Amino acid sequence: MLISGAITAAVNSLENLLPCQITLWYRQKIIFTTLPSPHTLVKEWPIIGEAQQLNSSVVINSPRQHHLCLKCPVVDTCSTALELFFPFLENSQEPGSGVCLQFTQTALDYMKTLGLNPWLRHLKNYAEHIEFLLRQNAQIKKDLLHTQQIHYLLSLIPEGVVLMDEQREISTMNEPAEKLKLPHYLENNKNPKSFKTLGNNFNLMETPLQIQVKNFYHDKKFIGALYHSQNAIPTNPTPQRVPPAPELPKIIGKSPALQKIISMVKQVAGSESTILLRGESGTGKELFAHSIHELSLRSGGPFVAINCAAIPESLLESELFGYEEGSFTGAKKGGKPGIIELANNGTLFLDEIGDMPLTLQAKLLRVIQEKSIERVGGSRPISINIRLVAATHRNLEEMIEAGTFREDLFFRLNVIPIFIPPLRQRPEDIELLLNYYLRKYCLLLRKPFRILSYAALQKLLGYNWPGNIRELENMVEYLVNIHNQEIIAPGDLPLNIRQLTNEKTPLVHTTAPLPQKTKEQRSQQEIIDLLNRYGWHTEGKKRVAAVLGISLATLYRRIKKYKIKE
Amino acid sequence: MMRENFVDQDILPLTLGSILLGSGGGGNAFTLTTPLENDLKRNKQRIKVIPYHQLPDNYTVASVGLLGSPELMEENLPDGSEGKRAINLLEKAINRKVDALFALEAAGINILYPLMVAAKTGIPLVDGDGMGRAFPELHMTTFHIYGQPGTPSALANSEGKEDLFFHEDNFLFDLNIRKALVKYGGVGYFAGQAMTGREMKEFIVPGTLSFALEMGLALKNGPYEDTFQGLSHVTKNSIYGQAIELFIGSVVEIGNIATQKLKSVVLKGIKHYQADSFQVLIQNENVFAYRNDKMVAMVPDIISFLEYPSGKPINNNEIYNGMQIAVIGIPCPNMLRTTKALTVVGPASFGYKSSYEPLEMFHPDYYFGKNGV
Repeated sequence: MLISGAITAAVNSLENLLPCQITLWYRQKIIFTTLPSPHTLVKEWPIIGEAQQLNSSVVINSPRQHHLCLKCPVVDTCSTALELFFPFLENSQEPGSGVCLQFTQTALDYMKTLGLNPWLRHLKNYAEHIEFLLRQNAQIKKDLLHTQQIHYLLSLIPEGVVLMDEQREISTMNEPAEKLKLPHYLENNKNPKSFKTLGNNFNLMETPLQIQVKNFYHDKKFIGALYHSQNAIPTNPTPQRVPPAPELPKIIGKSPALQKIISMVKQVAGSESTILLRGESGTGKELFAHSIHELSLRSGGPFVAINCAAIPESLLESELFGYEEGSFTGAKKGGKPGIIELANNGTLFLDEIGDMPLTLQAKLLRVIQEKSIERVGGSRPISINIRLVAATHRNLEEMIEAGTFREDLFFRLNVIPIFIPPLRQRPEDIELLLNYYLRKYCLLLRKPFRILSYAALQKLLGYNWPGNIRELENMVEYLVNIHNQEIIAPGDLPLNIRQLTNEKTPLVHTTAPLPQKTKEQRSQQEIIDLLNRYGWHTEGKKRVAAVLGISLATLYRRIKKYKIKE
Repeated sequence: MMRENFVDQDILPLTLGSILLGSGGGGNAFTLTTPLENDLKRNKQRIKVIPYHQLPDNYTVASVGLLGSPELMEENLPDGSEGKRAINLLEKAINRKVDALFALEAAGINILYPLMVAAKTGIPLVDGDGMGRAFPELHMTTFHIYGQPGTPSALANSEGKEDLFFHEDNFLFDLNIRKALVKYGGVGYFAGQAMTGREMKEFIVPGTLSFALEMGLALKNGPYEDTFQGLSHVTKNSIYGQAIELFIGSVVEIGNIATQKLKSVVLKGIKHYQADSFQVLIQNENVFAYRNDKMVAMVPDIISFLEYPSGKPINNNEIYNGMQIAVIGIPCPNMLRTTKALTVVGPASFGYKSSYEPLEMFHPDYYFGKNGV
């Protein structure tokens, strides 16, 4: 143990007052001594053991004759006339802490002139003082360790934490607290229980921030407090050990047409703008809507979908907007929130928006403009915060002409239109999707795995899939359920597919031997086909070059050579 | 993206992808990468690839590849002429010209060697193979599973040895060709499984060369987290299933199980797997994987290693004690999962006396959960 300057000063002043040898023991170790060559083991100092036994101070006033001196290793060379040991308080539990004083004959004589007893009392006070200084020293060290540990601990915590003392002055805080400007809020608000404010999270988006307070008391008196920040929006805890979910998880396909849509979805998902998904029935519009929600900043909030065509017109209004108690016959007691309200802080997906009745279209327009709704039979507006994604397979422009869709609503919805291509425009994906759904349904229905024969695959590739992916998925589910053969032959396919494609050759892939055309013809047509597929822009040309295994420069040379134009 | 050509820049990504498809085995494909790259660069050559849908029905196709020990091959690197001689021998035996070649095993060296032969002979290569991964035995192919004969087959080596095999039974053929390999010094190059384009299309595992290339392009983008994201995307859009991370840990034990043909690698978890242990059982390829003694993946699904945190694919003979690796699972194509296929390449063929459980069923939350794939 290191001893502080205060202890050294106390010991020196005693030595100056009275010539003597002073030895400080602390937990069986000498921490200070004026002896030139002391014995360092506690058993070599019998006086310390005696003090432990008696649980009091020990005085040896007749050295070399005292029974304790018989055990002393230095009894032969000893010139001490008086030896004192004042144990510290903790000495009662274990020996080895206290002050040992050794006086020569001269010092003893001097003490006797003033009377020995007052001196002894005085020396005892000295020992107590030194003990106090030692304890203080130990406490300082302990406090220092705590402070360092707390600083380190705070640096590990992602939340902002501020510690305050009894004067409500900030004693410690961590880096997140500084970033969130917690000191600033606490200065203006000295005695908060808990309050909400706006903080900056890592996205630099202002999010509501909750500050929690814990006060500490001693003897009913305030002695300090701890403030810590908490995100007000509860986030779902990520389940342990489930690997991160991939982007656009359920969308399968490599066709350029689909890849273009996927990159567009990724790009716009993060914004708050309304999206209108257009495409034929069965192309997976809801899947895209869901992906938009998952990729958006609202992914922690609800995703609520409603099919406007599936609910009778008379019920759609109360479904969308909710109702107050007693607003119509059969209305539930206490009313019911509508799905727009349920989608608050999340995404609302309105499928088949083209089938929404004109009256409701007007009401929906109001919701978009005012950002508030009124329940059916309600009298006060409820403000809402939703992101709208709508979808339809109908031609809204024609409906506007015919007067069955409001033009103003169309413009409100058509902020970001995304056209999802039908399956026949992405033929490369048919085989992938067939494989995917075969795998999926064999697993889910716990059936032995099936594969398609090449002839059956050709038939399926040649079919034009008017019902798009929904039709394909249902067809595969049917095949897995119905057929027990491992290999699915053309004869096993549903009748409509078998019949329709009988005369047709597959749309996508030719099986004609390649060398029938001249090299030049092949190159020219091939380049045109590929450019049509991948696009005539630079990015498309780069991909065409990659497919052909030639450099971009060579592709440009050939385009020039064959005089290919868009 | 179906490719019609491979150029020198494609060889490295093809190598990386081929190691992943090797499921831990398949030999060190890197030994052939540089010679092949250099050949293509020097001759400004492109290897012609036929997407399997474009393969004419009347074509005669044959497989070509390496048989035996890849380690012994490294002592005397091939240049494609061995395969060329085997093809010539085969052509004489079947009395037809081979119009297109294919890789029997689209993994490791057996992707690179057929490329080398295609470059040497100018014969195009069909995009697809007969295993969809690496397997230890010659008859573990979709062609055998669905009833195609493996013979006639020709075997040759660089020292001029040549043999023809005419066995009708594929098992006997495998046995005899391996017996011959002893005379060949442990390494031979075969040409066989001759069939028509039409027959091939029926039972090929399609697009595996393009798939290896696409995975390889994703694998070039280390570190591991990016690599895995890329792999996820590529595998999802393929005839394979989406890749899943099975474990990340450091190797604590590599050992042999004397009574079985199996080798075992034990990992201790790092990152969020810290409290867990993992064990992979190996018979040439990684065949069974356990987390905390519970099975999490089994053959024929692919179990592969990536070096952590670099994300570089590695063979199971490259790992050492203390190395940090990530274990990835990829559901194999449906063709390897039918009842017929599982009798040949299923867990029972590797000593596991129980039925096959698909990778997806071990991890239903990942594949079918709320955010499932």
